[in-house]
Amino acid sequence: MATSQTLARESALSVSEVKRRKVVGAHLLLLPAYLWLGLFFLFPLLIIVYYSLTVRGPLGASEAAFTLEHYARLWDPLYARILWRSLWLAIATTLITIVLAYPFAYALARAPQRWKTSLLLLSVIPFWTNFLIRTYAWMVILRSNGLVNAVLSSLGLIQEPLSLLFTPGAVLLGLVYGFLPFMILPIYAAIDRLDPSLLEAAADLGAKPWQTFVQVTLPLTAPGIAAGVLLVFVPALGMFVIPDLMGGAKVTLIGNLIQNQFLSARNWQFGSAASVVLMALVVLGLRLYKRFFRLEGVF
Amino acid sequence: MVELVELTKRFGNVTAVDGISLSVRAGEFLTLLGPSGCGKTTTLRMIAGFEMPTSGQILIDGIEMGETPPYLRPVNTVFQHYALFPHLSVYDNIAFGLKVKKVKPAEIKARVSRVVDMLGLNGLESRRPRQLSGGQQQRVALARALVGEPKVLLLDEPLGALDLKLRQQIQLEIKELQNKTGITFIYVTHDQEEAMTLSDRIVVMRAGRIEQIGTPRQIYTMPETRFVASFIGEANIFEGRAVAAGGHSWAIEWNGRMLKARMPVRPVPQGGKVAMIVRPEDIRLSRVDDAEASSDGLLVGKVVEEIYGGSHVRIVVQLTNGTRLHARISNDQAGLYPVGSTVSVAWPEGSPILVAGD
Ligand SMILES: Nc1ncnc2c1ncn2[C@@H]1O[C@H](COP(=O)(O)OP(=O)(O)OP(=O)(O)O)[C@@H](O)[C@H]1O
Ligand SMILES: [Mg+2]
Repeated sequence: MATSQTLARESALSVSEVKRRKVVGAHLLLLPAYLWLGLFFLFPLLIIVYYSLTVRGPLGASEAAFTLEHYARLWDPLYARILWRSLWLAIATTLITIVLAYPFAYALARAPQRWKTSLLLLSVIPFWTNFLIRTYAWMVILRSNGLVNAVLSSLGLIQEPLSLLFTPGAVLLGLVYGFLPFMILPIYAAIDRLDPSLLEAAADLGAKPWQTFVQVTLPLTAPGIAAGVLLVFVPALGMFVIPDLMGGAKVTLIGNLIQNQFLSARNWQFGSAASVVLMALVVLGLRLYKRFFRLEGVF
Repeated sequence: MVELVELTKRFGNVTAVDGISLSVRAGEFLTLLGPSGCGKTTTLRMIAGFEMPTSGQILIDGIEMGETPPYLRPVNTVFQHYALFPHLSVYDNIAFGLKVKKVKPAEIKARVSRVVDMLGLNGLESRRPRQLSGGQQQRVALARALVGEPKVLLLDEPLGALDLKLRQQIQLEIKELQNKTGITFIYVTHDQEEAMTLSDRIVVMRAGRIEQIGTPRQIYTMPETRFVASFIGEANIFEGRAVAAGGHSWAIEWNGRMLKARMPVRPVPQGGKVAMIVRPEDIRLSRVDDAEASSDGLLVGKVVEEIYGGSHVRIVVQLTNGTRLHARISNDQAGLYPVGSTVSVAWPEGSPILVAGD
């Protein structure tokens, strides 16, 4: 009896020992990935955190003294406004791209097979042109002696050119334009994967087309929307090129703030603090998002 | 209950269904049977409203369907791969049709629990479809289609994905369900045994047309065409010229001898090319010695194969002119006709079936 118990305990021990070794082995196998992550992700991140928490010396270098002053400075209403504006522009961009992308992706996925490829191609072709050039094109269209104003005044609809460029609206337009394909593609993939017999089953059971859409199509393609939201919201929040070009000095976003601190103001400490806050916001947002939509397995 | 009039469906230049007319009685279990690609699914999908006919009419309960969309037709479908909603629980799958039709919640509950009981799905209500076995998914699909109490239930090879044992079991359940509910069933299969077991009537289809409509017994014992005779059950086929022997008796001239046959169901031209069908289970074998074998009256051959089939044994006989015949004998006669032995072949006078030769 006693021996069998010890035996059992020993074998249990050895099982857990085997498990432990297996885990160690798995970690060993992952070593290259850890190194890669450490070198290119964790290390730079730590530098940023270090900068954000240390005192700025007279020449801009960090002195090895702890401070929270850079974070405190972000509480200034000026910066809070920038943060807030970044947030709502990113949210608005995401919502507008969903509304625009869904019908397009739907039409694309339901198009006859022989059109599908060309339509899909058309929606990604803009990717092949430099992003800056496409943004400059929008500037040409929107500026006071640009295309829109020229057409409107030649039709006699306006006397004075409208100031379209360098407004939050222009930035929003630029963001929506720039991120639309990132929303279209995952939604398209989700709709394309949707089994058409499920839609037939719904109709067969008496669901009108809109009921089928709300109760079957939408819930089953929600993971596509969720993926699109991640692809649009996160980069939109940190975007600085579009607000820089289309918002001018008037529409500063947190991305511009960080860029300015690092490049023009050469205040790396404050820039780092802003970066850390931006990252924290993104992580927090993702957590809430995941909790709210119960999106297991999406990310 | 369901009336098809000259129904035709063309996809581009493919004619999937070619002018079929058919009348399904209320409460009937009708099966569309035919080889792959003969238009069974297309016919069913037109009744459900998923495909619009190229020409012809569909009447359900006396009402011409025309362009009526699927959600307004009094029919429900059980799909081949079930098409259960993966994001909904078993309960919500079954309740889906009632909910979209705005049935009162209390009534939904009562009706769902009734079909859940009927199909033995108790305890599975909160599961998702992917947490069910194939047989359980099948039952949920049936429950979902039945809970709305449609006038007609359409089933497209509902058992195609299940293994034999389960298939036989659910076949019985389906038959019982149909008796209990009194709903008209239109069932599609390419499995002739399934069709035989379940149906009140079978519609044999071929290349978009109807070959024959009849009870399983009629289809089996009185096939009207060579296709039906060879598609349903097994058939030994003798090809020859028809000879009317007066009265009800016919014969075919085959290899210089006359073989007697039953009067054909569908008239065949005197002297025309015909096929005579003898079912393997009708063939009687007996051992003969060489002297008997050379006598003129007998059809004689050598046993070339004996195949064990569980409840029966299949004997393959090669006649002197090279024709091979299959005979099906019961188990207890196994061993009586060893390979290589000489046997004579006969059948009851009235059993051979005569059909046009195609
Ligand atoms: N949407 C479609 N487009 C073009 N051709 C089609 C379409 N649906 C069916 N067909 C063609 O119509 C014919 C009948 O098809 P159907 O699916 O009705 O056959 P079936 O009897 O159900 O066969 P199976 O037993 O293999 O399911 C086939 O030749 C098929 O290729
Ligand atoms: Mg089919």
